[in-house]
Amino acid sequence: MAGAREGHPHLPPGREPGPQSRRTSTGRALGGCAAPAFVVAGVVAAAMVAGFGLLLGSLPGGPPAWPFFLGAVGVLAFFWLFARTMFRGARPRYAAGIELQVERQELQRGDRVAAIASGEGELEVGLVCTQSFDVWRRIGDDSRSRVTDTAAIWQQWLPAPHGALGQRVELALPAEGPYSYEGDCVSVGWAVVARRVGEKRVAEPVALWVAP
Amino acid sequence: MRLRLDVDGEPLAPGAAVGGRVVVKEGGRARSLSVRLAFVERTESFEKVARDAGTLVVAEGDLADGAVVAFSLRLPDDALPNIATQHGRIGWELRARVDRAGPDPTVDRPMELLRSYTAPDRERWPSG
Repeated sequence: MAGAREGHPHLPPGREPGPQSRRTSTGRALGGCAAPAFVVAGVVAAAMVAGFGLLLGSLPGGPPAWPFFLGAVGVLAFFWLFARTMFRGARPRYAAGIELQVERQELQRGDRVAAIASGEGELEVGLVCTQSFDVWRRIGDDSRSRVTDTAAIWQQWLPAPHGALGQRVELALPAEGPYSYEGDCVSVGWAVVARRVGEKRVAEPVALWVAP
Repeated sequence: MRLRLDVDGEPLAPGAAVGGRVVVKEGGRARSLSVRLAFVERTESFEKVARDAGTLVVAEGDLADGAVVAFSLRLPDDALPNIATQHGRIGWELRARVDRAGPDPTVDRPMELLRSYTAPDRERWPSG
């Protein structure tokens, strides 16, 4: 079992997102849609800079065109980097070649969750609880924006050294730990994750719902 | 106007009576004094009442220095436990509010519930 609710990878199927999760999901979708627009805008802006350089260079006694070409490359690079950042924000990248399955996604605090990780290399499987929290982030001197930050607030990792064969590990949810919660400015989510030892990037997580 | 909220019998269980006192440390003119019990989400920037379990008017008229006003409310049977980390808190709180001309003085008191979670590295938020 490794499903997630569509548009909300931190929730198992059938679980409704809260107001905060819905806002974040909409923001991600808009960011992903805006990325191609920034690429197009970058190409147009770079073409305008290069064209302006060519125009000036064709005038008698006009300046050389190469600084404008250099500027066009800079403009293109700036827009491309911006678009890439937005695109990646909308689509998180996961470690390739690792598969993760859990026996059930609906649990209670204190339950044990069995997971099977498979993939080349030395793997470790983790149980991670993440808190999402809204804060004001300052933009410039007199402007601010509401953003949702996330932080791991509880995690446990177990080695799965025989991942090539598909290793089963059992993880324990803390009996008096955090539980799943979908709120307006605070949410709490649980997931089983896997990664290669020594690497930061994890395979696509499997969302859990942990009842109190 | 300055108030303090005292609660008896913490940590409390879901469905338990929430008894305590509002201590008026510094009194003044007032129309009424009320106490609200609610499940509140808090971060350093935001605060949202996720569930209101009731508001009780515990006194009417001016409040004298040193007055002590008892109250009793009840937690819902399905009350969620608290979660508190350095990034924010979800949990049950009492709020005493004085209704008077001008800004209403309030005081919040996070409550301790059984089987709550407090992150070990938590620094910013009061206990509960």
